[in-house]
Amino acid sequence: MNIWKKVKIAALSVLVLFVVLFAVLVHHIVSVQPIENASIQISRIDFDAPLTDSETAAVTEKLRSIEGVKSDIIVKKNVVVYYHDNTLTDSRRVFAQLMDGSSFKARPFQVPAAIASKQVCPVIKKDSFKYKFARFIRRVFT
Amino acid sequence: MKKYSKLALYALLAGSTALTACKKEEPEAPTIYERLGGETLVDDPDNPGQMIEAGRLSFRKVVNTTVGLIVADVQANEQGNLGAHFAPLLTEVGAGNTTNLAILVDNLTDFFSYNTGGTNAVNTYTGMNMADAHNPSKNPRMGTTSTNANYDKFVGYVGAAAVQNGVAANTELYSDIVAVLESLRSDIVQ
Repeated sequence: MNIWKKVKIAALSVLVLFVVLFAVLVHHIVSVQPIENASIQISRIDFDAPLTDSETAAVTEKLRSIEGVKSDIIVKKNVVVYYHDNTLTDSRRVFAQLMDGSSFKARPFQVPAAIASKQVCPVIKKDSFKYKFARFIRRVFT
Repeated sequence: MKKYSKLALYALLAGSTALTACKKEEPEAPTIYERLGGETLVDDPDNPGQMIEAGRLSFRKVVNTTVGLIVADVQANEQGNLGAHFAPLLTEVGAGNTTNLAILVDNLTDFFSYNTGGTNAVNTYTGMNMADAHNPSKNPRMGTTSTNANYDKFVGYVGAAAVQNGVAANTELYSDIVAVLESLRSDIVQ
């Protein structure tokens, strides 16, 4: 087998491999299922006192009337948790709209520093080569 | 002797035919997904103009309520309320990064829908298997392992969420949902 034949076979193999990988990539891109409600955010409001049934109904109704607030609103004692679309509104705006004209005493919830600072995720060390390399690759493709 | 053997064989055949016939006549029990509304398309309350399978919507509401109840219980220095497991998610959300919340809710909705009878493509679960997803060495997002007590708490949250979304605690449907959760315990508690 002369050298040109070997080069031809190698080039053809690389081309076939490229076509197969490209087809897999295209299939993956086409078949990937979009995330439902991809822009949802969860927020919490802490009231000074537990809400009564009528107060719960009033708060829930007012929250639902705010643009961008989703249907699932959870009330537990003095805490209200709600979901919203962060492309339409944000937690500060929702809080301001909820409090507008109401006599409730409440404050938006901030994740306690003791919990927020827990380095449980990512476990990977941020100064490691693996972390930096993965971040570089992700930035190239996003 | 030969006559008795033949008789026994006929009896066995007749018996098995009767049993098979009985089995065919039994109506297939509806799946959990079907009992939660199944594939019937309804308006999606969170996405105006879009339709969603009623079973999927039920699961999504239970998942959202479960996460909401966990978030409602998060307190600094409070033990046993799953805050440690959800802290990264909350911190990310607080910083405006909502991707992982959306993925978590979507994955859980897919997982429960698909594994309880909602086998249409819309419910296809593409996440990790339950054992790997809860193994910190295989899933870097899992900061710490789950204990039996953690899982008891989680099952309690799901139960409360189901009740809040119209599944009464004294029903067969509720028991069946809890049974599904219990079937996952050995993979999740490691």
